Amino acid sequence: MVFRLSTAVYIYKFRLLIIRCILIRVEAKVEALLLTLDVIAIILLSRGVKRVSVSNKPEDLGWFAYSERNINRNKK
Amino acid sequence: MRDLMFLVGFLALLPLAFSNAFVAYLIWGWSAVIAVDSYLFGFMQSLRVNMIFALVALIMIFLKRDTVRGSSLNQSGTFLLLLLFFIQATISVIFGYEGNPNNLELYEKLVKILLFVFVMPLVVVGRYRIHAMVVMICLGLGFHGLIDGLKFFASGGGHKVHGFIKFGDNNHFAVMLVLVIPLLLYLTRYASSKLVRLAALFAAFANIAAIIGTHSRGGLVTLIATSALLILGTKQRLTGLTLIACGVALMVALAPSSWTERMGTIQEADKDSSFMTRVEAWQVSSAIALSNPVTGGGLHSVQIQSVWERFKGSKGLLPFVDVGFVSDYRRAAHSIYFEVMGDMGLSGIIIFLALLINGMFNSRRLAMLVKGRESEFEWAIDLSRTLTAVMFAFMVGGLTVSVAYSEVIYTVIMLSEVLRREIANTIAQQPTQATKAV
Repeated sequence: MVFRLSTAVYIYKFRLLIIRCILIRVEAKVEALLLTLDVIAIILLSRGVKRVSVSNKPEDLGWFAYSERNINRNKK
Repeated sequence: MRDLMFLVGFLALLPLAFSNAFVAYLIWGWSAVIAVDSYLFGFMQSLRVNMIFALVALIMIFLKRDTVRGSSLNQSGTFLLLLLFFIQATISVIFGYEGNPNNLELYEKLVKILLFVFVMPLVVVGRYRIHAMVVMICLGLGFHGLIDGLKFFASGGGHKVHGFIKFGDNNHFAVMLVLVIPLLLYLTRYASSKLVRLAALFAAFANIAAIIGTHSRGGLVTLIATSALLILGTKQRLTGLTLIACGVALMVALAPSSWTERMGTIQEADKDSSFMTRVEAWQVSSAIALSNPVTGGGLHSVQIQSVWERFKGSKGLLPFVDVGFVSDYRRAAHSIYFEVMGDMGLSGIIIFLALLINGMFNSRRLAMLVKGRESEFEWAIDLSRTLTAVMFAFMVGGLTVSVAYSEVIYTVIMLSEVLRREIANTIAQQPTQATKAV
């Protein structure tokens, strides 16, 4: 009980530091996740470009394909 | 873990690079802008990813491993100006002040950048490749702003962005982040996938947040000036300007007090010691240029203590400004114009300005090319305006930071030339096709 109480006191005392540590861990994970997504995106772009180079069809760019016209302007 | 992930990514990218010269070129460009080693902390950090892909790309281009090949642009003004800039840099490095370790280091960087730019016309042919180049810059440069923008959002505006090792301190970083915003906004209009459009829009907002997080006054001024330019190019000017005004008001209302206080000092530049130290650096840089008008002092010679001591107290081209002190310790040039002026002399700054102005005029030349066929080449007009906005942001942001040797601006200048050539070729081919059809 004593141990638990003191732990709780310590957690309360250092709550800001603990929250900051958790946030740093989360930030690092998010940074790693975004880096992974960026690498995946450049792989997908490269694959798309390779496909278009062979087929000469712009839609083969996949996710990174482009529109012939300004999409926002055409909506209006 | 990150290193393992990147190893897998690297192993996936390598065969792709060997399959096509343009793919290799694209990855070369991406790896230069993202500077992935700054995000890795393990065994992959020492791997020179950029050099590997640069070598692969050059080999593939040399062996002509591509389905199409463009002609070199050695007749164009952009090419000639870039060549002159390279020659001028070489002269400055050879004849600059001795004992300058920055000289060779920066020269090596500049040569790599110009090599990347010089081969661009050989591989960037066709709209899909021009579009891929825009996506590549957004993926590479926009990534940095996305990371810091998210941290800014997560901390409720408390996160202070200190800069990035590749670009420099918070002021340099802010200007570099502004450069990517017009390109991200272009993607929100021309990417056919809704997911990509939304991602680009979110990344643009995150980049704006990261610019605010840098607490850079120069970055904020550049952001506002670039937004105004982009809006003046649209038909909904009033709506756009109202949105900017609302955005600025919202920013001031929500930003932390330290940010508001910092931005409030923009009006007091003449009393601000931080600004006056920049003026002092401009005076010393221009004094170096006046003393060496043809050769300059060598790359970043103003940052060498012995050179600083020789010229400190000189007013150079700004004799009408009295900063009120003489610093004993060296400083960076704090302006792209004075940076190039001090480094390469008066001839260097003339070439540099001609390069930037020529790049800005590419948009006008393209508009004249497509006169009467605006709806057919809507994308090209929009992209050339976007590239002009990037150059404008660089010219405005560069007033107070030394980022003259950054790859993004040279890439954008050459891309505007490649775009113009692409449209000129398309127009030239069209009557021939019509004749064939008859």
